[in-house]
Amino acid sequence: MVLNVVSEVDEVLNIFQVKEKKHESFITRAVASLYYQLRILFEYRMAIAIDIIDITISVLIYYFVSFLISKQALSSLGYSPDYLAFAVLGISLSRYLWSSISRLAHKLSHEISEGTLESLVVADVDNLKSWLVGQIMYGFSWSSFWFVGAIIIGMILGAGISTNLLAWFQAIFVLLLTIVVHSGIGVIAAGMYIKHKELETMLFFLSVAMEFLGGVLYPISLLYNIAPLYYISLSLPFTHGLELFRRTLMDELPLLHPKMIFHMVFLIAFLPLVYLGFKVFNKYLEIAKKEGILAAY
Amino acid sequence: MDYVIVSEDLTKIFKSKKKEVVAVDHISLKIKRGEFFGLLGPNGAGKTTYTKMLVTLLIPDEGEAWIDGFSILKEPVEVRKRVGWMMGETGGRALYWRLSGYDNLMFFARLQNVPKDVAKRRINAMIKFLGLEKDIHKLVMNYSTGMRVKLMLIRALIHNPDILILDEPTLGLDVESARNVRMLLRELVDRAKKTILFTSHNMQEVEMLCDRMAVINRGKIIFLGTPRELREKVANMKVVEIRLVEDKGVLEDIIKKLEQLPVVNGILSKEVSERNIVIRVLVTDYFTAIPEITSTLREYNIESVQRMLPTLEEAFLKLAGTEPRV
Repeated sequence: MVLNVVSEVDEVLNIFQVKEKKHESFITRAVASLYYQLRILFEYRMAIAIDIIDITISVLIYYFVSFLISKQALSSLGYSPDYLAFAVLGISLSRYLWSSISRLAHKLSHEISEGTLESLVVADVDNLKSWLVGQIMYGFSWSSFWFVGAIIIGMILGAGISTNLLAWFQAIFVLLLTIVVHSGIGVIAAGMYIKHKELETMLFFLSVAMEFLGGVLYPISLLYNIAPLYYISLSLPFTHGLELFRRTLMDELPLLHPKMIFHMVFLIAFLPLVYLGFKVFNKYLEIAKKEGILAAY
Repeated sequence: MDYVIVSEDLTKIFKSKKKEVVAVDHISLKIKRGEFFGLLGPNGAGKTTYTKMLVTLLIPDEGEAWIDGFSILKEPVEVRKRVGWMMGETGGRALYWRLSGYDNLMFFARLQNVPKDVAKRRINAMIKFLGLEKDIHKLVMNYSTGMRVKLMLIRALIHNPDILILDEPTLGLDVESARNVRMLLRELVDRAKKTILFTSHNMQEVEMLCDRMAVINRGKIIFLGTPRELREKVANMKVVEIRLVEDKGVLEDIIKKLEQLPVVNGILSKEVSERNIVIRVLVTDYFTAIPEITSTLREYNIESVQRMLPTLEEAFLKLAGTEPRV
């Protein structure tokens, strides 16, 4: 028995005496963070089932609402007269971004309450950046399922969404740009949670900004007569991402079209949010380390 | 001298609206490369706070520390690359309960820049040694405390760091596993030239493993030296052990009688088994204490009353000024 233990110690020591050359890349580490997060997700089968039911019901609601909306009203505001397509693209994009942002913040709150954040901070050789990027990818990859599901169900119900391949390539480009910009907001929200331990109020305001002012269910031109709301709406990156997305998949407008360029420029102007997001996150992480609030057990 | 852990006046103060608590109070410590160093202290002494600053989880309010020459304030990433950290009593929470043990290890290995094949080899060798082979693919939520402790230890070692900072690494392990872990840790120092800083409540363990040790209480170091030096420092402690063949029903009476004796300075410990009672007391001097105790307890079935050397735990309690545990 003792001999066995001794030989096993030798085996362990031999392994630890070899200094292996390390060659993992940042992206490999981020993908590992995404992969294991998905493994955890698939342990929660009920949550997946609820998401699927949620997609179907959300689209069905706007399918029935679309019968009440006059086609002329939408046309007069400069859109294709298909409210179902308008609503499906609006809610799919807003839910896509919203669930991704809130998923990151919720994930962080979970890591703090479970005590795993400290282990992550010690382990991540990229100062938590590869973990964060992995979590952002996780948020968006799982929400993609919701997004694609909503669009497919909408199309089955007759929503006039383009099937043109080029339009879809452009839509994916717009989507990626919108994701990148909003991931910065997600990282800021997550960072604020570390310090303030308050999530729901922050997420509530974000959701209001998107749903109410972002033009998810109605064109923002309807807000024109209430100037402050209209200008707040224009200042949100989501408004421009959604406008580009809709114009691409409903009207098949190219990115350089006069109706598109303003929104495109505006969205690109928000790109520094990503850099700012990581900066803010690091600042909050430092405050947490100073105050000893990385774990809440 | 080649020091790998150096702290200078390291201080941490936790502030709340009502009060300020100095958790670590100007601790200066130097630990040599290849040294097995024990950090002892009662709960709340500041051991965990001190180690958390070393692994860059907490930013000190004053002072500085260097790990293998890298500043914990200015080069935290370099510090973390060189340190393997094992969390203490709450350690089981630092794992993903909805992942298997294997996936937990692999995930942290990847975050720590360990290639998949290398991680696999290290995991396989460690789980075999620690007896986790059978359960490694089960979800961590189904693990016992001991199994989670083993997993945490493997995680601390997975990136093959030169320095290990371990908080109670044998807590919750069964006797055989604890012995194996101690053997491995000692060998890691002796043969793989690792440096280990570990905290413990187990005095025997510290005595058995550590080259040097520090006792910390209320955030300050109150002793720094070898376990032998600690024992010598408190050699003037006079301890008497009383063994009785009695059942536990009479224990309270015996304790009361002993406490009333002027020669008894305090009760250090009491152990009760089905038909035996063993009590260790601190006395003023052996020559009057032993006959007096024997006479006071003459109505009981005394097996022996004899002078003993203080255990390291008793020495530590005396240094820390803590009331002896009874």
